Amino acid sequence: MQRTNDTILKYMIKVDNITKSYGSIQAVAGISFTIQAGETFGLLGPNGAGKSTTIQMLSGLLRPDSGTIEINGTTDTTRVDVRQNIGTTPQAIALYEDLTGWENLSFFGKLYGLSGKTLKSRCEWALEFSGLSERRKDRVSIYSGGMKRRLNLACSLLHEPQVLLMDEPTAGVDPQSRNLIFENIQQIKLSGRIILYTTHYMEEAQRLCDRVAIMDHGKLLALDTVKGLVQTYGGKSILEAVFDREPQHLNGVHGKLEGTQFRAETQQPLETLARINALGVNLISLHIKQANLEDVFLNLTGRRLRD
Amino acid sequence: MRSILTIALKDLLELSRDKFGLFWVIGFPLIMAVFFGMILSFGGKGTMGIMYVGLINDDKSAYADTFIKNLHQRESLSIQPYALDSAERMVRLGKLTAYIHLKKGFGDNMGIYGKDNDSLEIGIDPSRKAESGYLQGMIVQSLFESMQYMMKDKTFMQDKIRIRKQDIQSDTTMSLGEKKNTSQFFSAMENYYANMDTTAKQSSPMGGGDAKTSLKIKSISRDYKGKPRSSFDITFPSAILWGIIACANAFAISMVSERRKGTYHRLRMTPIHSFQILLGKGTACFLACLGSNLFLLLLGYGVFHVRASTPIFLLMTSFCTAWCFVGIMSLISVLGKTEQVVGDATWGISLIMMMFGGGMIPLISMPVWMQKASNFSPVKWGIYSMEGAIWRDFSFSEMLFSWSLLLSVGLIAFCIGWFRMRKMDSQ
Ligand SMILES: Nc1ncnc2c1ncn2[C@@H]1O[C@H](COP(=O)(O)OP(=O)(O)OP(=O)(O)O)[C@@H](O)[C@H]1O
Ligand SMILES: [Mg+2]
Repeated sequence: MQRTNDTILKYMIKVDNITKSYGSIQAVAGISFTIQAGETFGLLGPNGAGKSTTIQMLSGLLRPDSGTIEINGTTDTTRVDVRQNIGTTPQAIALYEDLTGWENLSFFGKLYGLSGKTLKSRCEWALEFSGLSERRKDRVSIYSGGMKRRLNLACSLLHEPQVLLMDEPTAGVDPQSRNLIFENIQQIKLSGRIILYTTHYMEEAQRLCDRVAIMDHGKLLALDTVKGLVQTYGGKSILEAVFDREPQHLNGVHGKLEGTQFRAETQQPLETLARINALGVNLISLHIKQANLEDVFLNLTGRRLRD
Repeated sequence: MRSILTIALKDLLELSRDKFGLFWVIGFPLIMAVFFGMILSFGGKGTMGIMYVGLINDDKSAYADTFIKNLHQRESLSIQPYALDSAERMVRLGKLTAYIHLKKGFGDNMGIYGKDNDSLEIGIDPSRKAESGYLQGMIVQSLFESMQYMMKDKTFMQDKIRIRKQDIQSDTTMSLGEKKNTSQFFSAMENYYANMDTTAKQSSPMGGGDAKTSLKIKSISRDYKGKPRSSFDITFPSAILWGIIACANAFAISMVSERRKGTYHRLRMTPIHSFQILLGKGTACFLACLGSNLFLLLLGYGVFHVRASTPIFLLMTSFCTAWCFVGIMSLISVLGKTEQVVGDATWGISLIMMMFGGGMIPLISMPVWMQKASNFSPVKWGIYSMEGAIWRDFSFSEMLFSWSLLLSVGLIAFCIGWFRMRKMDSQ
């Protein structure tokens, strides 16, 4: 039993109060979190929040000014053997444009120590993953933006790393390709790997991530499951209804009634709806706007995620 | 090691797809080598329009003088008197194109030469076929004209004799006995000239072609020791340096370009050390340099007769020069953060190094101050030791000096580059 616990605990990321400044700009201002094996962790924040800087520190590209990062029990993430277990998808597309898709994959595969049949089958898998099997012999320079994005992601998955750091892997990808990518990531998720996913699309965080950290100005403002965040910071849902006639009294239903128009702000919109039902009026129209991560962000910062 | 090779091969693959880059690595040096080689050799022919010929006159006859005077009148020949041994040496050194040796007895038969006649000898390098033919043609012409001149002289003399004889006949102051004796003397002279005239006509071939074949040629192999054999001996070493510089620049730029495009970051996220990245790139650059060298040298060897007097020296020089510029490349690659900056810097630095190092003006035709300045350009040491192996006939120790210079410059530059790169990475 102890053994299994060990292996589960083995691939764990523990970030403790890390900071990073570029000159006078403090990109990361003391953030802490842990990610357990099998967990998909989202970093949600606007431009310049410090997401990429965080990823770069985790991938060993940058050393934190202070604080510690522990991956797989090692605190020095710049170590070569630690990097073998990490797959990082950089935010900027980083591919060799003069090489073909296949050549790019096989090049990075080799650097991760793959060779022979394994290399070949992993490259095949990656082409399949990115939907580029047919374009394998084309130079990357003539790929579309979305294709490059997909290959950019695939290159970091070749060596089946235990830890995946994905920095906005879907920017500029059309909804269809995005769906393909999501399905694939969900597959990877099932295999028990750690995924750290940064994005400024709240739908992505909501759909993929087990837990989400809201980041702004280099700080984590909140960290919880999506449900927990919405409940704590999303504010109330808004319920708007039009009745067929004016009810005599609201019978304890909290809300504002103007003629037949009803509006309520509530944490439990469904309960409110059940109470309205008991008023004995019919509904002509009903609109419930549930709180989401966007509202969480708005409530936390007073700004929208993307403005 | 495997990762270094993987990176090197990737870089070479990228270079092979970059037509513009390839042009600088192979095309441009080729143009430099061939085009300038041709221009220089045309220029050389122009100055060779005057053929410098040494003359050894052991005969000292009047006929020899006439012949020499005739040769002097030819504008395309510059005739200078020499002693035989010094003339031979000058021909060997290439300072004289040929020499003409007039031996004793040349005047006796008035330049009438038969198969056994060797009273006139030409000394020339057997490879100078064109010049040899040209010179022989002119010698035959001069012999012929001198002969004609002498013949004309004879008729003039005969006329004179005849007039003198008539004078004697009409002279009233002379006794009959005296007249008889004197006219007998003149008749004998007349006979002598008349006989000589016939002999000359009989044995003198009237066609030049015949004479040409029977001119005696002594082959004096030119000694190229320490001398370029052709202008290509000069243009190929500098073209090779152009190729090496182009490789170094291509890789310096590719290094920045990787940095800017983010692939460098991606490489650093793979489980390899950053010095392996630099070594991989360096290896690619090194191999590209050697490839460009080999191509140019083979072409030079096969088509333009560029020969290394010591091939192993040439090989070592290729290695050391490539090494030197790999080091310089790694230094240049960290001079800036964009391709623009590094590209400008590399070409600026390269042009200066090339200009002062003999890449534009051949080392041997540089003014003294420039030759001194050239010592500060690694290009000079590259070209110098290339030339050392091809025609300067350097000794091992002379080569060793250039090699160690190239190797140390490369090593120092590489180390500085590597330290700077580490500093950039840790920012
Ligand atoms: N190399 C750098 N030099 C100087 N400042 C930098 C550098 N990289 C990032 N920064 C600054 O650090 C801050 C955080 O940047 P970072 O790239 O981590 O943000 P991000 O959350 O990834 O933003 P985005 O969503 O736009 O990718 C920004 O203010 C940015 O200008
Ligand atoms: Mg970012």
